[in-house]
This record gives sequence, structure tokens and C-alpha cells, in this order.
Amino acid sequence: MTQVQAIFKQTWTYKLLKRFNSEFIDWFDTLGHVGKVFLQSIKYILKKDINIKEFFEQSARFGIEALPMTLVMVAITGMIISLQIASEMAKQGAENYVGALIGLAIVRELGPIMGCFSVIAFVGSSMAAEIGTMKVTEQIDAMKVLKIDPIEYLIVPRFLAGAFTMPFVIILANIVGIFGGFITAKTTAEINTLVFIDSVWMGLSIKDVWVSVLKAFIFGGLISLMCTAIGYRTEGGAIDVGKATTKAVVWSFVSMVIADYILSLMFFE
Amino acid sequence: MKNLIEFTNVVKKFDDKVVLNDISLWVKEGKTLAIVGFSGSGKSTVLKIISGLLKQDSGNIFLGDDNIGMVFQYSALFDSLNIFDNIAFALKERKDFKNKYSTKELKEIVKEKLKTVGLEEIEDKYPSELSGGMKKRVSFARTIVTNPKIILYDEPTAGLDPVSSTVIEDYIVCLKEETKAASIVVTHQMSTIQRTADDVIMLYEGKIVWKGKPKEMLTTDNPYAYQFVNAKREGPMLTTAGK
Repeated sequence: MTQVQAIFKQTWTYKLLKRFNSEFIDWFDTLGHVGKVFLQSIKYILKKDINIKEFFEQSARFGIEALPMTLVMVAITGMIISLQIASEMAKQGAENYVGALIGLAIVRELGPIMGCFSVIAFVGSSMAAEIGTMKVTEQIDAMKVLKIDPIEYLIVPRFLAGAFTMPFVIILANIVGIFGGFITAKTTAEINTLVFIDSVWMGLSIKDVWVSVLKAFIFGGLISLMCTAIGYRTEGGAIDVGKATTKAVVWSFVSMVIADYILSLMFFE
Repeated sequence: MKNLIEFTNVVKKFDDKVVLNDISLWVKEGKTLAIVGFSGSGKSTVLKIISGLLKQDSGNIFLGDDNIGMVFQYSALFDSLNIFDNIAFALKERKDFKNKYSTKELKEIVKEKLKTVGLEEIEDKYPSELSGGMKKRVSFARTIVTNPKIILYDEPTAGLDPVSSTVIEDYIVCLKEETKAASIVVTHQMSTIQRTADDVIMLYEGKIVWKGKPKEMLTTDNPYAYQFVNAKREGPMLTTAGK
């Protein structure tokens, strides 16, 4: 190593580039791993090798454990939008559009997004920590030695549970979100009940509802896939389980927002 | 008696570090081989390669039976399942056993395997409710439930008190006699070597530095074995703690 190289290695620029390089490699590495787990999961799904008992247990986790907080989050979101627009629109004589605006915002965007944020926090993080702990305590190795593929037993049921349960959760969340918006519109801007309901029906189309369901399906699958695949890759000890959980949550958020953008571009541009 | 495990010229590297360097060993049906050595000498890597958790970089491995059982260092029981489900796990989920047994038969099998390791009436408990020694015995029961012909033990007495260690060692001998399996025990403990093994090999930095019978280990003048048996700091081996 020349003296110039040695001096360069001591600089902040070098350290920053090195860090950036390792983060960049890790990013692609994680993406490759998640893609591989996804393809293996699809292989099992196509072969219909699905653990039905585990699927229902995991569905209950999505549908029951996270439901109260998800509904509260989306209801409050509906109330906040209503609080910000209902009075203003009523003042402008546009109270006929309050329901439509709240309905569109909740069903197209905020219901699926806020609902899934809550599910990531409640279910996704615990899934990543659970599988990460199983990995570092050799439970996953024990499963492999017993000739049971952890992807088939642990990941496939969670992936399917996320994808198939989230639409039901989000349909409920959308209803509650619109109801939250209605209560606030009624109390703050004295919007008539029938006018509000009429406006919601007028504003929403069937396409809005099924795209909302499709988003929930895709986001649910993405959350489960990211959290289980990243948890499955944990190496080390307790601190690494913590790091893997954080990484799984961040990757779930980011991938969900990117998927949301692509879906919105496809259906609403 | 035929060889059930044959390990020929196996090399395993992690990045540039050679963990196993041209290792050859074999274990016959009904016999137990103890692998000893300081931490980081490659002992557990041998087990992981035999069990299929790792792949060797070069060398050949012959296994006389692909049904392998492994007892993990910290038992590795599935903590979300009760003891019944832990033991019956392979019979309920593995493709070659799935739907082969009724619930009643599974209960009988689990009861019998628990009895083999001296436990009863704990089927409804969860691993967190058991002591370290009991967890280890449950993991024995889970290991033998598929009647493997090859059983691997990764530090089976680690973290146990002397009496519990003796109980575990007795079960290793008992399982060997009952199953006629070829077993490998990775251990640091002299009592485990003396009470369970038929042959011993000693690893250091990925190489076999001594092999012989358990009794010979106590009297050999091989500097590696002497240092290990007498727990000397001075000698050819540096422990990871001493480096």
C-alpha cells in the first residue's frame, strides 16, 4: 500500500464511501434474499403444499390481534381529514362534497396505507422478531434436521395469511374511517347525515373499492414476506434480532409505499 | 458392523478461514464417536455438515441412513409448541410421516418416547416451564421419534449441573443400546467422553491432532490430548479465551 493510499484510507470521504458501498451491497443482498424466499414460497403455493392450520392461526393474528388498533388508526385519520376540510367546505357551500372527498381519501389511499402501517407495527414486527429468535436459538436448524422446510412451514402460511386477511381488515377499516369522518363532519360542520351518505356513494366507484382491496392484498403479502424473510436471515444473538426486526419494519414501510405508488399510477393516473 | 457415517478428506472454509482441513472419520452402527477440542476448533461444523445444515467445500460424505437426529446444545425446542407437539412435530409435518398416525397413536408414541427419557405427564407443558435438564431430555425424545440410525449430539451436557449431566450421559448410552444408531457426541466434558464414547478424536484448528480410545486419552503423552485432559494453559493449543 502506498503512502497516499494509506492517507486516503484515513479520510472521512473514504469512510463515507466505504459505508455507502456496504449499505448498497446489503440493500441488493436483502432484495435478492427476499426475492428468493418469494419464489420458493410461490413454488410451495403452486404445489398446494400449504399448512392450513398454521394459515388460519396466522390469519387470526392479522385479523384479530391487530384489528382494534387498525380500526382506531383509520377512524382517527378519517376524523382528522374531516376536521380539516368539513368546516371549510361547508363555508364555501360545498357540503355536498365532504362525504365524497373523505370517502375517496380513505378508500383509495389512507385506509389501506394507515391500516397496513398499524399491521406492520403490530404483526409484522412480532413476526420478524419471532422468526429471528427461532433462527438464533437453532429452532430453524432443528426444523431443517427434522426434514421440514421452514419456508413451507413458517413463511408460506404467514405470507398467505397476510395477503388474504388484509382485504377484510381494510374493508372494515375503510368503513370505520368514513364513519369517523362522518361523526366529525356532523359535529363540527353540521353536515346532514343523508347528504353525507349520498355524497360518499356519489364519490366512490366500484373501481375505488376493488383497488383498495387489491392494495390490501398486495400490502398484506408484502408485509408478511418482508418480515418473515428478513427475520429468517437473522444471525447472531439478541441484538441481531432487534436489528433484523427494525430492518423488517423499515423494508415493509418502504416496499409498501413504492407498491402504493405503482398501483396508484396503474389505476388512477 | 457397517459404517453409517464416513467423512473423507472434508474441507470447509468460512471466507478465507479454514475450519475443517482434510478431515476423515467414520462411525460404525451402534458405536459412538466423541469429538473434542477447544471452542472454535471445528467440532460443531462436523455435525452441521453431517446433518445437512452446511455443505462441505470439498471431500466426500457417505451416510448409511438419511434419517438423522440431532440434539442441539440448547435443546432448540419450538417454544410456541407444547411438549406433545414438539415431540410429534416430525410425525405430523414431515412428508413421509404425515397422516400416517392417528391422534391416538401419536399420543401413545409421544408417551413412550417421553418414558424412554424418564419423563411423564408433561405433554401439555411448554418448554419455558421446564428445567434445562428436562428440556434436553425432551429434545432427546424429539430426536428419536423418527427412529434415526444416525444421532448427533452437540454439547449435550453444556450448562447442566453434574448430576443432570450424568443423567444425560446415561440416556446417550441407553439410546445407543436401544437404537443401535451411529452417534457423534461433540463435547468438552471428560465425564461425557469417558462414559459415552467408544472412540475419540481431538480437533485443533480444523485438523485431527489425536485419536484413540477414551481410556487412552487419560494416559497418552500426545501434547494436545495431555493439555486438554489436564486443562493446562501451557501447551501447543491456544484457546480462543487465551488468544
